[in-house]
Amino acid sequence: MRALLDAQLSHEIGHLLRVRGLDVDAVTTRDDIADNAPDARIMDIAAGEDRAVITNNVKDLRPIAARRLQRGQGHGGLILVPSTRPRTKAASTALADEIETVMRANPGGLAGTERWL
Amino acid sequence: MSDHFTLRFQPGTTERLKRRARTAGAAPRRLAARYVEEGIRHDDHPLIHFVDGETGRRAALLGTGLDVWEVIATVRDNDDDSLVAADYLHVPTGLVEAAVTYYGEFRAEIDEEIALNEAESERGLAAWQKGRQALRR
Repeated sequence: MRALLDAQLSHEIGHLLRVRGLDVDAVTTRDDIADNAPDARIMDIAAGEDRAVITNNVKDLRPIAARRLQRGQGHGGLILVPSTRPRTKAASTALADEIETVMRANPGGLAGTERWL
Repeated sequence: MSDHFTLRFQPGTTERLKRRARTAGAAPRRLAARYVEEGIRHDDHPLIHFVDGETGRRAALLGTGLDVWEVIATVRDNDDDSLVAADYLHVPTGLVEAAVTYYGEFRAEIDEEIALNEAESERGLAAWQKGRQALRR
């Protein structure tokens, strides 16, 4: 499966996953995604590439995903990082481990669904 | 309680305001008040701008995809160290400090967004886990 790491999570996590052979892009390192791209645009891009969005921004991304499903647009899936998980360098490897587990368990992707870490 | 303030626009501004209000689905007066408030805030904090989101307008850091609440939550996670948070987010320390300065003036709003995300996260995770458990019974 493929994934797109949201801006509030260090793109170092994406690097850790790519080294392990996983197809993970980061919003912050993609030249074709504007710095000020709204959340709906991120979901749109991810859906177009069959990528699940890995995010900690639960309050904004989940409603967008739900609305896309209501409209029959679908989405590439959500991998949700609870707020209780620290956004620190020290925690990045453990977070990458958990994301890797989800991605390997779902080789066909997470289209239209969500997984919580 | 809000203050009343009368002002005179240059020709054409009212029509443009009404057009924008129709697009935004907002009353023209309310939209004008928002422009003034956000304009002042942006002048006071030039690295902060405002974007639409699922939970309303929110302050964001210019030149990044980051909302101010996301930056502050990251600073909090890193023992209130702007330098370490900037390193984690891969943005210049000056941008993180701009978010912290904005936070100093509008702390209640930012704390509210952080709390909302935490509440949605807690509620969503609990509901998801409950559904999984129900299937296993």
